[in-house]
Amino acid sequence: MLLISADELDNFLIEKIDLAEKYRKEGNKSEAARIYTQIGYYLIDKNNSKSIEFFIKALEINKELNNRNAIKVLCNNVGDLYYKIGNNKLALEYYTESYEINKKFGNKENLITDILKISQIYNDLKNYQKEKEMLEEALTYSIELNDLQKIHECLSRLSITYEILGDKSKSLEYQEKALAIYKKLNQQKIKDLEEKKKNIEEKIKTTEDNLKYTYDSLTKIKRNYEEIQTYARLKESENKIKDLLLKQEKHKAQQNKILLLYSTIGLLVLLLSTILIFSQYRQKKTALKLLEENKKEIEKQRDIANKQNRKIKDSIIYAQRIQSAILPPDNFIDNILNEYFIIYIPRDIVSGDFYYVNKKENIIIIAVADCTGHGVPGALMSMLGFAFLNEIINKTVYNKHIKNLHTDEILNELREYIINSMHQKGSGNEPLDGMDIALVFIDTESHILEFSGAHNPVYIIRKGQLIEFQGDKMPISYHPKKDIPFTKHNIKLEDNDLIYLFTDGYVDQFGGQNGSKFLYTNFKNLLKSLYNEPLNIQKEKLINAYNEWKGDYDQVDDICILGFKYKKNLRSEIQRIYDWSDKTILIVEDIDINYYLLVEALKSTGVKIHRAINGQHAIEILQSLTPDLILMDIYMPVMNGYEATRIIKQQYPNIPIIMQTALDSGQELQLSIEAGADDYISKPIDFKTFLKKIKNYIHDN
Amino acid sequence: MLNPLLLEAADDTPYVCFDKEKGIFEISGRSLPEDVIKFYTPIIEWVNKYAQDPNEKTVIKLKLDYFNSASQRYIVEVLSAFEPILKNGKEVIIEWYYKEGDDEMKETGEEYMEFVDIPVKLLIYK
Repeated sequence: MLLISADELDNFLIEKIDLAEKYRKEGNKSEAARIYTQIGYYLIDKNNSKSIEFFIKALEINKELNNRNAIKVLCNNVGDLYYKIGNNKLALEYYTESYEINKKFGNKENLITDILKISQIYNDLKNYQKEKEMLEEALTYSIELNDLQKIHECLSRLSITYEILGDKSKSLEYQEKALAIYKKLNQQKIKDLEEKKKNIEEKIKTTEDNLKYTYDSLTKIKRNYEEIQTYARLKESENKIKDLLLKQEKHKAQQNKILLLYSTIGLLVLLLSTILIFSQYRQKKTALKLLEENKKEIEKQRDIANKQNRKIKDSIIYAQRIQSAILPPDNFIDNILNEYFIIYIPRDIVSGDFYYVNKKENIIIIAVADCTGHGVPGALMSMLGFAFLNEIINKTVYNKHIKNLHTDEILNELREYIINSMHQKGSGNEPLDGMDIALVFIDTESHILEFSGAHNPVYIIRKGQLIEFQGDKMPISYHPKKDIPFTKHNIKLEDNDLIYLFTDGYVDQFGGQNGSKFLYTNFKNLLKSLYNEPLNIQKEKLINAYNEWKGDYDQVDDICILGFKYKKNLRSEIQRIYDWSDKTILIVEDIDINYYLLVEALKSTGVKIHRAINGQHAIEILQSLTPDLILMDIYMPVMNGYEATRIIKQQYPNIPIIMQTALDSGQELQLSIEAGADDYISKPIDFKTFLKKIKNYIHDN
Repeated sequence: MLNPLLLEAADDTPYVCFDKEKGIFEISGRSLPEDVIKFYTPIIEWVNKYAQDPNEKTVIKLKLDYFNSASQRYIVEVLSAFEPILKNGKEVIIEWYYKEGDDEMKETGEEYMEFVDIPVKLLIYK
């Protein structure tokens, strides 16, 4: 044990010691003792001998004060400390002091503790007899207290002690007893533990129950709260409804008053009006009767009118057939124009407009005309106009030659025709019917287009640009300007030019938002926009644009638009009217001019031509050539036509022979037939008849 | 006393108002009647009567947006009927209205200047 030097004692200690001294001097014994005890405890294991010192100091004071409890405790402390430092003798002394107090004043528990301590010392001192005595005493007290723990301890120690003392049977006896106690103890312990466990479980269950109860209460409270809220709301609505009903009641009451007032007034009025109505009724009845009679009459008239109307309409519809028959048919036009369209929409079944398409040799002739009026009067004019135009063209071609055909001359002549045949004199009251027209000639060899017009123009669209020729501002009829000749315009056409001729029906149509005319400007723009479309699409789009513009407005005038695309190699694209490109004709003719004439006539057919200059020559040729047909002249040197025919017919009976006779010569005709000719053709040659006749024979083979 | 001539416009006939007292001589709208003679003859007869005792100045207002070829001829007749007034030294003038963009109508107006001796003023309306 370390001795703590004075300067190592801490302040606490010094303080305490001083305090204790102070108390002692004051005579405050209990306080001093207490301090000394404190110091003692403080010094345990720091300075055990010093600790003992202070405990003893405290003990002495307590002895003076006769504090039994304090004495016992202090004796034990000192004893423990002496035992610790190995002073068994002194330890025993102090334990015994405690023992005696306990024995005297009957604290059995503490007594047992003291005895056990003492017995231990005896054990250390090897005083086993004394130990035995002490332990037996302790055992007695333990049994009295029924302290199983202590009993067991005593028994086991005694068992050892008896063995040391040589009492084996006693030792065994006590050992067994000890074992039995031990079991009991454990049982007791287990019981105690189970008891504890049960308590804890019960406690848990109670807590759980409490929790559940709390939870249920909360839920109930929540529900109640909601119910209260709903109830509150319902109450509110109820009140509102009550208020409204009240208001309604008031309102109703008011209304009832007003109703009463009005119904009284109403009744009075009713009374008056009934009287009035009654009198009127009488009047009406008579009026109705009259009306009924009128109605029957009107219906009768209406039926008659309807019938008449029907008849008129039917006859007009029939007239339309006639008009359609006059107009050039589609397959005829197909042979002349390759890509084209015609829009022809009459206003009233029959039209005052017409179109004319024809071809004379290499000249294409196209006209679109608008005769005065529309419907029946217009249609009558159109028939006349068409017929006149056709006649004039044919006559001019026949008399002059195709090369001298000019548009302006044709129109001049047409005007003359109309004025004369309709006996127009320009006097005030007569109708000055006539027509507006656009007339166009196209020379397919030179590609030149010639145009003349009466009011109507021609449009040419070339590569999206529009070229326009205006017609002269005078009609084909009597007119102040009737002696002024029409103008002729020329232009050279290019491939893919689009050419349009039309009447003013399209551009004069009312429509659109304001019911205004379509106008030429818009028509031009529309055509330009359609430039790249194929002709059939152009037709469709033009008709659609027209219908859209027109909307619900009536058609103003007849409509006629002809559009076509010009191609330079039009001729080769057109199917020949007659195609004899696989046939051969032998022309037997001595005079060159006549021969060339025949060649010219046959040119369009593409037929292969061979020539013999007389009858003899013809027979020679036939030895190596088999033609499909022979054209035989009559008067030739060496051998004439009759003889040649006779000989050829003997050798080649299947080859048709057509004789060329002079006009009005019945004799020649007779002789030809006798010679065996199949047919004849009279000079001068009319090409059409000529070709027609050949056609009858050339296919026989 | 020459009563005014007033014809309401119809689908195919124009509005006509010839009133000597108010000095109005107007034809406007569109003219495409089936029977042109029947419609225009009364008008021409009225003008003939007026020409015998005309105002100092006569302004004829023509504002047509369409007329067919038959009407055209008779409108010329109506205007020609005003010509005798010029010979008496009194003033007559034609105001020819055409809609903006309608070159056709404008050209017709110009033609009328050739056919009729009365001076023509060309005016646009929208």
